[in-house]
Amino acid sequence: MSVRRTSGFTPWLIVVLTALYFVVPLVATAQFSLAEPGGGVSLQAYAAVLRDASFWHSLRFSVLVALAAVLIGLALVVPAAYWAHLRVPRMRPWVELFSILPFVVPPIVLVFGIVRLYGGGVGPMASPLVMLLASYGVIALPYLFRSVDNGLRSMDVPRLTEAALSLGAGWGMVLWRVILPNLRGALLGGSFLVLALIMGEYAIASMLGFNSFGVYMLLTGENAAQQAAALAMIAFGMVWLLIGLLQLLGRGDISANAGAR
Amino acid sequence: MAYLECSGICKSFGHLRAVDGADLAVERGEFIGLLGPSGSGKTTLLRIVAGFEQPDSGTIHLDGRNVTGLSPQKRDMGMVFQSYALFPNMTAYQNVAFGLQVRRQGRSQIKGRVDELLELVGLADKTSHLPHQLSGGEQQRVALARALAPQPRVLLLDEPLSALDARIRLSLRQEIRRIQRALQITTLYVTHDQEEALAMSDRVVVFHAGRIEQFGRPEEIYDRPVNAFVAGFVGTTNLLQAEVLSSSGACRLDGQILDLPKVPSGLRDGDQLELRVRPEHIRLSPQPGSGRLQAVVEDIMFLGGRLSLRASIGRQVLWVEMPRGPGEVAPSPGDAVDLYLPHEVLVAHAAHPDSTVPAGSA
Ligand SMILES: Nc1ncnc2c1ncn2[C@@H]1O[C@H](COP(=O)(O)OP(=O)(O)OP(=O)(O)O)[C@@H](O)[C@H]1O
Ligand SMILES: [Mg+2]
Repeated sequence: MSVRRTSGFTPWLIVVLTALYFVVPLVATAQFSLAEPGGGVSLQAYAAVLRDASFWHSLRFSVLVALAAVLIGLALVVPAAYWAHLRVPRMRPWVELFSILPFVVPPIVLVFGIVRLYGGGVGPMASPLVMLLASYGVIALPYLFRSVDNGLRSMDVPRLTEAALSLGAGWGMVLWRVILPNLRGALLGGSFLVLALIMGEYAIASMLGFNSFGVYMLLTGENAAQQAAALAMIAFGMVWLLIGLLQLLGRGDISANAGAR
Repeated sequence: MAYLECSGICKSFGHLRAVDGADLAVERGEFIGLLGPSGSGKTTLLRIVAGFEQPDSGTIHLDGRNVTGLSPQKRDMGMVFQSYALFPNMTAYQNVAFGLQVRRQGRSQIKGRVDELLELVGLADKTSHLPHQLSGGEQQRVALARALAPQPRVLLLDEPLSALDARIRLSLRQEIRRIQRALQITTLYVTHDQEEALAMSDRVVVFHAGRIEQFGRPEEIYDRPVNAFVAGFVGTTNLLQAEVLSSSGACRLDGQILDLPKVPSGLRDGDQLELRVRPEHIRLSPQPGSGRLQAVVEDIMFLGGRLSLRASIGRQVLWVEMPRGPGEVAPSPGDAVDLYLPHEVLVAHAAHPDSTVPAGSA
């Protein structure tokens, strides 16, 4: 096969255009958030956001809900994916297909379905908070499954399990001491992705009547444009913080060395 | 009852009979080589002994106790895998310590045992290395130490050396045997390398299509294979077709007469006979008590210390292998030679009329 030589100009053009596509709105937003009505620069919009009690309230709510959703998702995904790798490797494509189903269902449809099904009833499922967590758990599944599946693929799950079993370890010990430590990078990656996703989720939370961070952002956008821009920059910063944290925690990750085996 | 006894083990995967009625009695401290071609069921039997698979039928007894239904955790068997299967997140030390921590032994007790084992496998200076910082041979040493640490009653190894290069394979082979002898641990060792099996084992099991074809000491397997499969699989064997002339031992082989010390009982004149002889048992010079056959050299190969020679007797072909002294002149293709077949190493079998077993190839 011959590789067609492109001139040095075209790739650069693509890079520059892409960069512009991402950077221009960001710079514009930042500029707008810092602008003073009479001209000049001030952090007033940021101060207003940070002083707002409902900002902190919604942020705390969303962080807690997102963490809970991640934990629920992991509790479902890790044992299932592990079992699929260990016992029914031939079924993996089906498990994978099943896990991406939530992608196909738009959140609004999902929450409508849940409300219709459980909303009028009694019992734990009728509570809005439980419905919210259940919906988020479902949304988290594909992301968590993908990363956990990748992590498991980078090790020889059946052999490691058998080695641990023949050394006398119980199943809990196998998961805790052998499988999970080698999944650390994968777990962190998937979890942070889901965390970021749920932090900004609007449709389900507002449908169920919660003042989540996503809802707060939207409301702010409707009422105070400049504060909304500041909020967007703050959210952007938080995502970078998460990524930085991920890099930090994921260091010394074993799956990165899997190729050396 | 033997220390480790498998009786009537059967295991099918779908329609495939992976292990088909295996009986095996192993004495305490014995080193057993499980030898057989790919797909013959060696790994499956080993996994059944380890408890990773349940047999469809049959039982396993260890030290007089039925362990067939016991989970792998409770069997006290150490396993070494072809792929090492070291825990990638743990150092060599932690890997070896794992089985002891699971048993809730004290810290100092664990340290003593781990140090002792890493010393035994020659890795005392690599205790804090992670698996990916170790060579393949070193990883397998750690895996061996890990399996031995909890003092298992049986050691199971599934082709532990086949991922390593030839030289390391050779030295590690000797080392495994040395350690096994020192610890007097009952060992099952799966390999498809016949040299490995013959060199290491007290006794060898030859597998074929899920069945145990022969179980005996290496010399027995080599000198007295019980059937054509074992003869062809372990080492090289020449198969010669002959016709019985008289029940006293004379037989005809492509027009030439050869005397046998004895023919299998029940054969009559005119019956077909199959003779098996190892290439290295044939000589070019007269030996007392051997039968002579005239042959023509077809091809000759120089193998350094040895010569390998292909000769034909009428329509039958056989291989001859012999040591080569310094400056010795070898026959060349087309030469007529006399081949001397020692009587005691000729194995005669009644040939089945329908069996067309090809002669073993070099
Ligand atoms: N889990 C399984 N599912 C289906 N078939 C299997 C399974 N394990 C083994 N087999 C089949 O059983 C037969 C025996 O396999 P086994 O692994 O015991 O052979 P082996 O003697 O160890 O061969 P090798 O030298 O290649 O390792 C093979 O045909 C294999 O395909
Ligand atoms: Mg095998």
